[in-house]
Amino acid sequence: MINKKKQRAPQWSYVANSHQLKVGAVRNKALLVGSAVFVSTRDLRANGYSRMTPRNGIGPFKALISKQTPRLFVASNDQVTNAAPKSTRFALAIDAYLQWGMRSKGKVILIGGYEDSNETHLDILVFENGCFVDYENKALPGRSAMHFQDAFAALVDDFSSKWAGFEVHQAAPLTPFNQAGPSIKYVDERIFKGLSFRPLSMHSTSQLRELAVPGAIVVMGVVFCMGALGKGWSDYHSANASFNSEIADPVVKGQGGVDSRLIETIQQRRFYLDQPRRQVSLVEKSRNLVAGISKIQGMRIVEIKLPAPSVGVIGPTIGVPVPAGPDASGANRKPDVWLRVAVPLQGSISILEQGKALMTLISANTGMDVRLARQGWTDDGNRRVFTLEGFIHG
Amino acid sequence: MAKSTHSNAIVLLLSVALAAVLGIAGIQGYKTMSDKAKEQTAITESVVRWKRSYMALAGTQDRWEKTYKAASGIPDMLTLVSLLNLATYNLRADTDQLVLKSDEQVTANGEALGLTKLCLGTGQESFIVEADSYGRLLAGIEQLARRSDVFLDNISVVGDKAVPQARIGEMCLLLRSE
Repeated sequence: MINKKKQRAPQWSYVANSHQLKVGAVRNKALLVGSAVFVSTRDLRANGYSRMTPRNGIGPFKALISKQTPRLFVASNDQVTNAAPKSTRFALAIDAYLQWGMRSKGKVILIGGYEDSNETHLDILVFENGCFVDYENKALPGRSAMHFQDAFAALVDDFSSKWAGFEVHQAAPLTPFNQAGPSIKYVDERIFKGLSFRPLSMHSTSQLRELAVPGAIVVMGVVFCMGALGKGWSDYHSANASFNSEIADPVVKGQGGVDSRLIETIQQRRFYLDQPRRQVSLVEKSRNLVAGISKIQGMRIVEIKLPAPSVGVIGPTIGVPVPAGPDASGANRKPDVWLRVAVPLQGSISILEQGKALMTLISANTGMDVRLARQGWTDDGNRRVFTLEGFIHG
Repeated sequence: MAKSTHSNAIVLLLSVALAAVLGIAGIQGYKTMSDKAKEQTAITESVVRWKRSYMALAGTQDRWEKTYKAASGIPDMLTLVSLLNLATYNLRADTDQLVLKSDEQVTANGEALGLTKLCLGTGQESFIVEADSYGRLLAGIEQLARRSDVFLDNISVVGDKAVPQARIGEMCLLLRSE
């Protein structure tokens, strides 16, 4: 009943009719062959057959770019499958033939099928460059029948005229047609090795395959979306992280956060610190002044004011009005030092002359420009008091 | 057969549409996140810039803190007098009469520096300091004037007193406010 070639142990049972399943299949694997499967290039309905997902006649990539996908419509014989015990798993020989054809190159005809003593059932598949082109099935008499050879020869003739230049292969489980000559190559049972056996209800490999391309597109979309979101998220995350690490810096934290006013304030502090301090030079100069004046004989300092009081301020010390009015001596500059000195009376010399001589002396001793304040002299009986204004250079 | 091819085409179209929607959603999401990230980065950069300016000015800040004592560290007049430390400059003042004349915030270019100017007086008007000689008096005042945390103005040295004396119209101490 089964064409077991010189295999060590059968891997599965070839099943063409219900009888073969009554006893159960080898390892519960039933490989449906022959009339157990109805195959057509057209979507036909047949009583007693359950349609299965159509098989694509070209690879998934080629299917994408080709205008029309060649298909093979298959249906399983209910009578056969119903006879199978529940645990039986199925595969279709036609799937193996298709896969073999789609891997082939050039122009190829594959003859598969099934034979018993009464009948030889042939599945003839035509491929060109790995694409399924045509299918036909033929029923010939049993191999032992007298007219088998004639019928087969006629068939081959028919094909060689219809498909000229095609290389003919023959596949298991048929035994080799040795008589047909060397032009027919034989593909043995290993052609079925790649088949996966599944429960009939789950026999939708090709449905999955049909969804593979759209599925892949959606998956690509999902992957792209996730990737983009992930990238965006990680960018945001790292931006946040670097912000947090910057803000956590003790320099920033110690100042209670980022405060642009603080920078401005510190800048102003720097200017303030670097500003020359007038008080230092004033006091320095006044020391020189005192030192210079004390060298002058007979002269005494009554009062020194640093800086000279502003115009309009009344000098309080002696009760003599301090020169008032802007630009008293023609210069716009405010004097730096206000100085009141006393010298003994010298009757022979006029006040102005005495004052002039004094100022020359002071100027020479101190390096300071000195001028007499307006109405800057007075006699108090035994001494003459001069009020002077000094200008410090540098 | 036609029907099956049809539905396959629809499934394919739907999958492409779904993928496109996912793609656009992904790009949108990425853009949103990336915009947020850019905003955040801009803020971070401003923090970095601030930090750099602060670091550049750290020397100034250091100098500032060394130059001026913190006002918070001066609890009373006595501490203020000891901070003034007139004895080191061979100057004397009647500190029993010490009054706080004014208390103002120093500003520069309209910016509050965080510096308090405390002006002192002995008695009503000026801050009067005395020394053993005019030389010492002036030397002492000069040293005082050189102190960065001391502000002096309107100094008047009176020459014909028994004890050499100077009236300092503005005798102020500069203290850090914060």
